[in-house]
Amino acid sequence: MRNLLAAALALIFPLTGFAQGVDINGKKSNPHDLSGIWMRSGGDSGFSPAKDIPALTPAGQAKLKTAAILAPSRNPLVKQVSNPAESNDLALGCNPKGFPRLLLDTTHDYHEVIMLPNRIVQLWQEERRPREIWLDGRGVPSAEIIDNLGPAWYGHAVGVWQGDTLLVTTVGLDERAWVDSFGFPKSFNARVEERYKLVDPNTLQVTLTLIDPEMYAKPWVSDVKTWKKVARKDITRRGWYGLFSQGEAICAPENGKPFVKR
Amino acid sequence: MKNTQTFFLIVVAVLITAAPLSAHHGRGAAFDMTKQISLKGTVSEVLWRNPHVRISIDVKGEDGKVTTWSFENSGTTNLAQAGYSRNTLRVGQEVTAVFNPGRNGTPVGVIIKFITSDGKEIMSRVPGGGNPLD
Amino acid sequence: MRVGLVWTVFLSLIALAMAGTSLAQKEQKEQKQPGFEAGIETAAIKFDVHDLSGIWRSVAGGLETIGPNVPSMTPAGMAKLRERISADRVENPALSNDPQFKCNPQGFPRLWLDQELIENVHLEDRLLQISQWEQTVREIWMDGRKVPTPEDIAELGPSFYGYSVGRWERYTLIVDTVGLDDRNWIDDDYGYPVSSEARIEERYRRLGPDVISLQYTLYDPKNYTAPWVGDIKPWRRTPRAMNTHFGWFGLFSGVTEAICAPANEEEYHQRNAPLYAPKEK
Repeated sequence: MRNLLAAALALIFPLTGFAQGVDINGKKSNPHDLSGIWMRSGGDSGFSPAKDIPALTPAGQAKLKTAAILAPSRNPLVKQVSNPAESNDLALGCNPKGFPRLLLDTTHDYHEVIMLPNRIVQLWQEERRPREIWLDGRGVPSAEIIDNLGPAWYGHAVGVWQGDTLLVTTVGLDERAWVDSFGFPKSFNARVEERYKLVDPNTLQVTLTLIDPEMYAKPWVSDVKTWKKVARKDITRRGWYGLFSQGEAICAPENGKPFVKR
Repeated sequence: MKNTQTFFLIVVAVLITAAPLSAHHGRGAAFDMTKQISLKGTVSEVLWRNPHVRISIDVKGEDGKVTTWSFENSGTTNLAQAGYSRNTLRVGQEVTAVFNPGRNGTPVGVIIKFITSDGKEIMSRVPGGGNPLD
Repeated sequence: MRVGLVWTVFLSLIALAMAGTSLAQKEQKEQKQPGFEAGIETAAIKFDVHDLSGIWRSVAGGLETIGPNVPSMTPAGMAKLRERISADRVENPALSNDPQFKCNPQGFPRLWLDQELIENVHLEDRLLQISQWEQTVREIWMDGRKVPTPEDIAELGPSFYGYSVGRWERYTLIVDTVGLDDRNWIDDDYGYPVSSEARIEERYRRLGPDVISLQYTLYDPKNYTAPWVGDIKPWRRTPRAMNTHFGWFGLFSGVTEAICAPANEEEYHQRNAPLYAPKEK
């Protein structure tokens, strides 16, 4: 009987791809419920490993040449500097990191996913920044609509479930923000797709695709980014539970470095 | 948990005015608010950005010389709430700018209103016009 | 029923006070822009007094500080106030030392006292307040916790937006906030100080389908000799049309630049620097 049950479970498991159960905080999990506080696990702040970066168009190369970064360079066109004062990384001056960089950056690893009836709010500890992913059936804004709305540091994002994968499409991004801390550019006409999947009750993964023919010869696909759900006790300090219990990670110029006055 | 209350109310709806944006940059002091100038020109730039939107027009003088005048406006939030966007005025469009000029003679002003070629007044400083002096 | 009568009288008084504002702005009806409402309604209206959800805007009519009756200040408070130079006090805003002009966070209560859009979202354990300006949030915890003690805050650290706990007392949501950063300015125009030992109490009360009243009280013995009890500030629900631009609805619709970016501020000051140069002869 036990062998029969085990066999039945083995059949069911690959079909669902999802371990039914409860998460680290004892909450029953659901593949369409991404809520919780998450911590980045592994990887670095790049969009992808260097070997997977597609060729840049002439316009992309020209843009990349203007970057002066602190991180070790991933492209010979980029100038690497050791003195923050010589870098033109806007984030060092407390400008918004923008999307997708805020997601990619591992400097502060926590974010919270809040599920609402009409949208998902990703709340990022760094910058204390909410990002809305609309699930109310609206379509991705057209190029004409985005041209009227104008660029946004975090873009305009729409999500739709495809089975147990949440596909998020973001358009209308501000081109002043780099893709990642390695200085890679993106244009106002770029489109970023994220594919989120709850691998198990405590593991959330996403793959990003940047589609930007103005800057890149072909779509740029990221490696898999992984987050682990945080136990309540680990996000509680002095009895205060919550994303901001671990410090307020707002870049404030009056706090001094790494703010660099331009 | 939820309580539902039923009331008979006399509700006086309060108009939502386009209130000054967070960043009070104290702009009035730099401009001569006693003077009002009207110039017709061609839009050459729309910088739709906070803290203040800037719109520039190229004005051809009687001597044929072209001068670029730049006009400060309110922030994007006030203008957007009044229904304007970065494409309300487009580069190349003919427009008349009515403004208070800078005190020291630089070709800069703070906008009172724009008038499009069909006579429509937009982005006005009047209450509710979406372009307050802030 | 007696409660209902008291409520009706109270709400009518509030409505009459607001009518004064509305009548004074009567001329604005002629300048009506899309997304604005005007009118007088009489109706039997059902609403849930414990539901503050929606996108709201303070219509306090220009007084963007806690209230008109500022208590006398301590020597420490006065010293702090004197060193602050708001933009209204100088001809060239570049000479102001207002931290927001370098895109430091405005913090609480300043951002909430400004007449910007705030969205209230009720969650199981908190009221989430999302601010359009700065694209930031504030969490008012409703899970039964107490506000942090001074010892807790010493370890948690001060916060530009503080640590907030809320509770319902019948029809009023009372929120207590502590642990504020003492670099915060309470308001834009004056720069009144708030210390890290202060407590700010907010009292929210939903008066109708589209109106909330809010009153602040600041308890800050370091800077003020008495509590600063604020006036009642009405919050008005904003219509959906006002938050929909080119078909895109949401708090951040049409206002893509609601985040203070130093790059923008620097560019603004640089392009306006010639305005303050001596007049050419």
